[in-house]
Amino acid sequence: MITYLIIGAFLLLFVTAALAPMESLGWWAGWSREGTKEGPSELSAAEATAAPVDEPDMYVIYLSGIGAISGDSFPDEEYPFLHGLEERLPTAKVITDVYPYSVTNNGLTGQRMFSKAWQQVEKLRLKNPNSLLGMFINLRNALQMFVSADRRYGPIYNLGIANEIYRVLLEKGYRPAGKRPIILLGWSGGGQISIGAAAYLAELPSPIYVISLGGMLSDDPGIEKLTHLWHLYGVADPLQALGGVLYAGRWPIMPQSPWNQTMANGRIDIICLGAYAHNGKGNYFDMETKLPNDARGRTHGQKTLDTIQHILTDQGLMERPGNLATALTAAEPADALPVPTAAPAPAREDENAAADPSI
Amino acid sequence: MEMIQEFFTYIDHLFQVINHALRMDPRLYEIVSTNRNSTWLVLGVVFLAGASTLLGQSVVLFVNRVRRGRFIMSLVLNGIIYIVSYFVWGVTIALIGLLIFPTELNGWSVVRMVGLSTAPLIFGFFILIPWMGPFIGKILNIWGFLILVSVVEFGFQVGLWRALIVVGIGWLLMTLLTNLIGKPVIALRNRVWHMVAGTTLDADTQDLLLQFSRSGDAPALLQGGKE
Repeated sequence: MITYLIIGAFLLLFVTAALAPMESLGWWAGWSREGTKEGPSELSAAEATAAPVDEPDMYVIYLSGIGAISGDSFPDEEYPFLHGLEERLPTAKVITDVYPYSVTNNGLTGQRMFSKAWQQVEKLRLKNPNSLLGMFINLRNALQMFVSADRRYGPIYNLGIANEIYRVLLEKGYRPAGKRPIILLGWSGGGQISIGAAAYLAELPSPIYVISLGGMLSDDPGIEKLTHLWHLYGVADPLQALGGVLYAGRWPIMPQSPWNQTMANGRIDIICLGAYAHNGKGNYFDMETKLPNDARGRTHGQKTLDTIQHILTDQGLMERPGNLATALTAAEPADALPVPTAAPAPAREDENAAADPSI
Repeated sequence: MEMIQEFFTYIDHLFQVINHALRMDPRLYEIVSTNRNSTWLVLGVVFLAGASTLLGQSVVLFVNRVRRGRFIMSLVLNGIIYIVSYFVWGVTIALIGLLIFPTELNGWSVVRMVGLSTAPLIFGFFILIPWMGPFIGKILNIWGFLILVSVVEFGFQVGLWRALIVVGIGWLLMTLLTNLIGKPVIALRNRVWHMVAGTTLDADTQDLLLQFSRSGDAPALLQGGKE
């Protein structure tokens, strides 16, 4: 009896996995048009190329991990991080409403056949974040991440996501003529989807950067089109390391793969944050657990934010925090933003970055 | 009512045949080789294998925006193509085997048994699975090859090496035939594909997306936002 149950469970898992690409394939083939959002992709040519008015210095698009249920519902731990990000990047427009696990930006609780069931799962997860049913969200989204990384489906899936990102960007005021930098900040599965979507977003005149937070990255051809990729990881995070194992193009014996070629061109920086875990205590967003031996007594989440801020400053995308603080103090009340206490050190490179307490 | 009952009996027997074929059960080979009525069951196995394999590789159908009706017809067509292909393959194996190891065995029995080697491909739709699908496809092909070798071993009452020689020569002969007289057959097959699906299976995702990006239907971003 137990044997049959195990076989049945495996069979169900395999069938679910086999059906995973259907949403994006069906979307492309025009089989399903439900959930497609009408947006200003239909901007007139004049509007789209018009000179920017009051555009932010850059656009940061946050693509959440596999725990996300829709573009506006993330796991609780991510909210303080996102608020911190907005505070630290006052000259950037931080966009969080792209759901990277649906080609039509249609969250699991949106217009879907099983939306009622997902709504129940969401309610249960709100009551108990470690609910076993919540794992179904992770499983469903993890499969979509694999769809993005698969060379058979990736070109379609990533096109859908890139179009949604573009649509939301236009909605938030982005104008191609302004050439404002676009930064995709992808956490976990969002990291892979960021590099996948970058293949198409690179068609825009803006430079495209990706910051991967513990992302499980494949050797996606999109990497070659990026302006730069920073991969932030923790040594206690085996999930992000899986990308380097599962995708042969990331193995050193494949020097011609997109990943290794981009690496050789110096457009990928791998930055170790320390003993960060993927989930639970001591993860990338943890605003409570203090870092051991950190001179400034920061939490894991604060160091993640610091590192992102340093990367963008170092790349010349924003003012150094000291200058910025001075400028903002003159313009706004002093308590509007936390003022960093230490002068930034160059965030570039590498494994050694973990040992540098100033980052 | 009787027809419905017969249909369910057929399905029941089909599942049993698949189950025993997957286990390379010599008792099944015995039944299939001696019982002519098993032809319909073997045809069912080969047809399902063809349809399922195309489902597993259906990304090209989707990329070409094949409509639902044509999609189903394409699966059916591939099932029929599999029946024809495995018939030719079975005849080739039977002829080579009977030539090298003359037995009392009827050649049609061998053709029927060769059809059983498609049983693992009934799981061909698992090739759809992202990342590991192509690997599953290879496993299924190896499994089918092992069934084929065991069928030849059983059919001609020979050992492993002799069975491998028969299969190897069969493969060489098929390759030769494909190169010599295969072109018109492939052209005919492609015409039928065009008729049913509106596409061939020759282009990959990247090619088709590139073609599509130049058409007026392409989404805004794919058409390019560069100045």
